[in-house]
Order: sequence, then structure tokens, then C-alpha cells
Amino acid sequence: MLNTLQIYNNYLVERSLLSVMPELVIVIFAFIVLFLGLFRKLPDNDNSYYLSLIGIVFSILYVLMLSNQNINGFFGSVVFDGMDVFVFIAILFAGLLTILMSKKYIEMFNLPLAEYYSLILFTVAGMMLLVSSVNLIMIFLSIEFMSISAYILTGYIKGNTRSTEAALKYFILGSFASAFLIFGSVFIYAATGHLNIYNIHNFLYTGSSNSGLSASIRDYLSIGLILFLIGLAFKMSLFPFHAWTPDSYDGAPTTVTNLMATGIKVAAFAIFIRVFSSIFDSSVFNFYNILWILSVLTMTFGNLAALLQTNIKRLLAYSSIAQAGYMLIGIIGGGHYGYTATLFYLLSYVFMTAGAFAIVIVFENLNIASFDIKSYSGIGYKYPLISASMSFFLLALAGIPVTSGFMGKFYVFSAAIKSNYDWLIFIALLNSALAAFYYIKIIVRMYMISNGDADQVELGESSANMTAIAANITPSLIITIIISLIFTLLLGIYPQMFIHFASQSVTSLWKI
Amino acid sequence: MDINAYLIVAGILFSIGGLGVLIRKNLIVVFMSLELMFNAANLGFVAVSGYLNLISGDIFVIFVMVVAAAEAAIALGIAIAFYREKGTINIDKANELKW
Amino acid sequence: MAENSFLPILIILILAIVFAFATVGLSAFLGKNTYEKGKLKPYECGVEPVGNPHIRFDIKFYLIAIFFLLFDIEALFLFPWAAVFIKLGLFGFVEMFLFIVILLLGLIYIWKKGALEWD
Repeated sequence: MLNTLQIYNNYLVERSLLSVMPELVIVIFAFIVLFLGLFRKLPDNDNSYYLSLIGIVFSILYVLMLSNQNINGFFGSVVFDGMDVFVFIAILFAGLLTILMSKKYIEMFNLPLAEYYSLILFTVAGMMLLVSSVNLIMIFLSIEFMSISAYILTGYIKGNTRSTEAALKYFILGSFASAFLIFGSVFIYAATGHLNIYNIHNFLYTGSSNSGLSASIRDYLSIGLILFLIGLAFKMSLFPFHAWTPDSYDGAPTTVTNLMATGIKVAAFAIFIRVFSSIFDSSVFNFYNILWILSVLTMTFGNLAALLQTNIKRLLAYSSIAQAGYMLIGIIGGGHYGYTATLFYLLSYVFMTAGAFAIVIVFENLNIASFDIKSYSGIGYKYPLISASMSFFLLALAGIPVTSGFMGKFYVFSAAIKSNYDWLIFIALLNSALAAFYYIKIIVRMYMISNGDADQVELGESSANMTAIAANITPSLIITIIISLIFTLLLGIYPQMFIHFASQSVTSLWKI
Repeated sequence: MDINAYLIVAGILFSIGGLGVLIRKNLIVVFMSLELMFNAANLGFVAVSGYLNLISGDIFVIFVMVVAAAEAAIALGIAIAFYREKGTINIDKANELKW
Repeated sequence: MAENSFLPILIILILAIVFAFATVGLSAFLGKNTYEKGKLKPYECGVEPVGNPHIRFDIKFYLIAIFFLLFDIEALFLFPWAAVFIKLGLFGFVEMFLFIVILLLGLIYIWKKGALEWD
């Protein structure tokens, strides 16, 4: 006991702090933003906005600085390895784009700004901690850290019944999922006696030879892992556990919807890859079959439901459910290649979704279109540039070549083909065709002039439109859209660099 | 001393809590059912920890209790906001967002 | 051994149940039943009741209750720490100090925010 403490004192304090440095930077900035908001004397201007941006940028710099290290901290509960580097970059970009797009949007609602930005930072820190945790306690704590901040953000619009209802539904199902997660942990703990997933891994694969696990341990382990899988499936919004997704995406402020759709999904998938690759022992139970069924159900249901939607936010919510099904295909394909493909898909998904939501916010700011898809009719001629970029993001989500969505789908599907999941690919391809239908439906609507008021577009009015755009589209929104566009193109045209990066990150998963 | 008995009791408590979340209409009762699910897991952890003569399970229980308190605070905040807007805490009134 | 150690608890449980039912039952059986208006009044330490008991409480009580809940539960971490305080020494002290400081930040926040003020 004393010995470990001495080691801890002399050596591990620095390493422990270093292993959570990127998260720590974010948390410290969140506190600064929160406490600066207390001083009424400071004018309620852009302080918190710029400070949060600086925090995110600092955190990205720290991640890059530590990028080729493998640090194990806090008695082995937290690691910082290659996996973290890739996923942190994706999460931090999700946070950065969310903060960038919320400048004008959140001021519209006349809500306290400091708390908003600090909560965004806390959510981002929670996601990062979740990805780097390798202990069941840490996984639970950081999921709750992330989710509790997200519950508050979802209900952030005071007095808006939709926002409150979304928060309520998100809270109930989110806690329900957490309960499954910890009840699963009980059984994993009962079977193995460890909480650290690397210790569990060693117990399963080396401590006793694989056939040597007794029947009762097998039973406990399979119950525990299935409950754990259910808990994570809620966070990943896989099919039977997806019910909260469309409602909370719809009711939440659009910026928060973007954070939930990009950041939380990335974090949930990353921790699932980490846990799945280490403790989901397929000799105990054939988890690949379960994932196969979940994946097929998720993408089919997501796409079918998205077909029927008339609200753009709900459509994007169902499309994000369908995308979760595609991401799962990479994990089912498994191995180094499959996980690399899934990580690549996650990164490209962040940029296409963030871009699409940024444009939904542009239309919301301008009051030119409600969330109803019908009101998108004919705006392609009024706002050519914005509509063109919206079309580009929708094509990326549909998986049309040249975009990142195509490359993501390509790698994920080829990973599954490598592992001979032919039927899965067949269903996934059918689904992609189905999905392309509703994405292209929006594009067609935007460029369809038959709508009544679209005929009134004249030169004089369009110059008035230009001033309206200039007043309402802040530079930060334009930067958001441009960043998303660049990365969506770059990941689509030149994916090798990112694939290489992702494959390096995945290598660290097996360096246990 | 058989660990199965404890885990079965914990499982029953967990199922009661889960059923409560799914079928009860009163928001506060739903929150109580969630707490019941968390505490079922706590019971399991304490039992396993005692059975295997380890301490990590007990530590997990402390963290679960603290997080449950934090969740309760958020939950009550959301419930108050809901009551102010709808004048009731019947969960069936949360019906604006569907499909 | 383990089964026997629960025997006193079982006995005290049975005794408690018997006693509870016996006292209530006996008083109902032996005592004299009178019904009058004063008996139905809520008991407020013997003072004559003032006003309707079903009043709405101020929302402030509710906020204080939530804060109490949070800070009270956080104190849970102090108990295991106190149990191994000697073993952990200065290291444990510093860690717990940081923990308390973070809690204090929360307190300062709600204080500055005016959540602790009446009126």
C-alpha cells in the first residue's frame, strides 16, 4: 500500500495529470467562463464565446503535443493513447463547430451566455474523459458527466415547452440507459472480480485458458455484457433503444442538437470500440450476431422513418440513427481494418452533420424557412451559395462519390466484405439507395420553382435578401460552414492521410 | 452464502424499477423508479464486493450514490420546469414531440 | 455462522412488529372511543392551529433542499477518506483539499448567483 503511494507521489502525479491534460484544459476554461459570467459589471458581450474557442484550441494543441505518447494515469483508470488522439480531434472539432455556430443563435433566445458556453465545454470534457476511460467506474462517471450537462443544455430554452419536453424525455431514457450500464457492470464484476477493462481482458484471455471459464462465470459474463451493451446502445441510439433520439434532437436548441448528433455519438462509438475490442469475448456469447441484427434494424428503421418526416431536424435525427447502423458495420467487420473504417466514418460524419445543422441554423436565423421541409421550396434560387452547400452536405450524408460520406461508407462496407458479411452489405446497399431518396428529395425541393412565393424573386428583392443575409449570417457561421465543407471534400478526395492516422490510432487498442 | 441469491434480489428490484419507469404516469414516481434501478445495482455491487472480499465494488457504490443525487437534482429541476409550463406532472402531457 | 449473526435482527424485527400491533390494538380494544372536533385538528405542538395546512411552500425551500441534497451527498466521500486518513497521509490530505475546494467553487457560484438569498 505504502509502496504504491510512494511511486504515485514521486512519479505518477505528473503522468496522471498529463494523461488528462486535454480534458483538464477544457474544464479549467469552462470554470473561467462560468465565473466570469458572475460579474455583472462586465458587459454581457462575447467574452465567454471567445474564451471557449480559445479553450478548445488549446486542448487541440495539447492533444497534438502528446500525440505519440502512451500515458496511463490515476492508477490505471484513464489512459491517453493513439485511440484518444484521433477521437479527441473529432470530438474537439465537434465542440469547436458547435461553439462557432451558436454565437448568433443563442443570443436570439436572450438566455445567459456564460452558463451555455461552459456547459458546452463541460459536455465536451465529459466526452473526452469517456473515450479515455478504461475503468468501469470511470466509464459510468464520465457518461454521467457528459449526459447531465447535455440534459441541461437540451432544456436550456426557458419557457419553451418543446425544449423542456425534450430534456424530460432525454433525461428519463438517458438515466434508464445508465442504470442498465451499471447493472451490467455488477455482473461483469461478479464474473471477473475486476473493474479495469484491461484486467478483465487479462482475466478472460490469459488468467485462465479460454475453455477454462466455469459455467457460472460464463453466465454472469454474458448477462453483464448484454446489459452493458444495452446501456451503450442507448447512447449510440441503436434501433430498439433509439426512442429518445428524434424527440430530444427536435426539441433541443439546434446547436445542442448538433453537439448531441456529432460529439456524443462519436464518444459513445469510441468507448464501445474500446470496450468491445477488449472484454466482449465472443467465446462467451456470439456478440457479432447481436450486432448484425442491431445494425440491420437500426439502418432500416432509421431510413424508413426518415422517409416519412416533414421536419428537417427530425429528418436529420432519423438519418443519424441510420448512420449509426452504418458505423456499426465497421465494428462487425472487426479487426484492425474494421475499427479504422469506423473511426474514419465517425470523423467524416462529424463534418457533414455539423455542416447540415449549421445551414439549418442559417435558415432559422433568417426566418426564411421553418423546420418544415415544405418551406425549403425554391430557396435554392434566393440563396444560391447556402443552398449549394446544403445540397453538398446532404449528398455527403447520402454517400455520393467525391464526398467524405462515400469514402466512409466504402471503407466500412469493404471491412465487412473482408469478413464475409455479404448479406449485411446487401441490406446496407439497399438502405443507402433508400436514404439517397429522401436526401435528394430535399435538394429537389430547394431547386423547385413551382412554389407560389418563389415566383416573386426579382432583382430588387434579391439585393434586399443579400443585406438580410449579411445582417444575420455571422462570420462565425460562415467559418463553420467553410470548415465543414473543406473537411468533407478533403476526406472524400484524399482519404489516405486520415485513414493512415486512424489506423495508427487503432493500433494502440491492442497495446494492452 | 450464495452470491446468486443477492443477485436475484437485485435483479428483481431492477426489474421493478424498470417496469415503474415504463408504466407509471407520475413524473416523481418515474424518478423514484430510476433511483430504485440504481440502488438495485448498488445492492449487487455491495454483495459481490463482500463475497469476493474486494473493495472496488464498494467504491463504485459511493460513486453511484453521488451521481444519483446529482441526477435527482437535475430531474427535479426539469420536473419544476415541466410543471410550470403544463400545470401537471403527468408524463402523458409530454406529447408535443412525436413522430 | 453468517446465518446466526442475523438471528438477533430477526428477533428484534418480530418484537417490533408485535409491539407495534399490540399497542395500537390494545388501546383500540381497551380504550374509550370518543369523537369530537378537536381530535381531527392537525397537531402543532399543542398550539391552536392557524390557517390551512395545505399551503404552497415558497420555491426557495425547494432550491435549498436541492443544494442540501447535493452538498450532503458529496460529503459521502469524506467517510472513506477519514477511515484511511493515517495511511494516506499528506497525499490524501491534499487530494481531499482539492476536492473540497472544487465543492467550494460550486458554493461560491450559487451564492454569487443569488440562489441563497431570501427575497
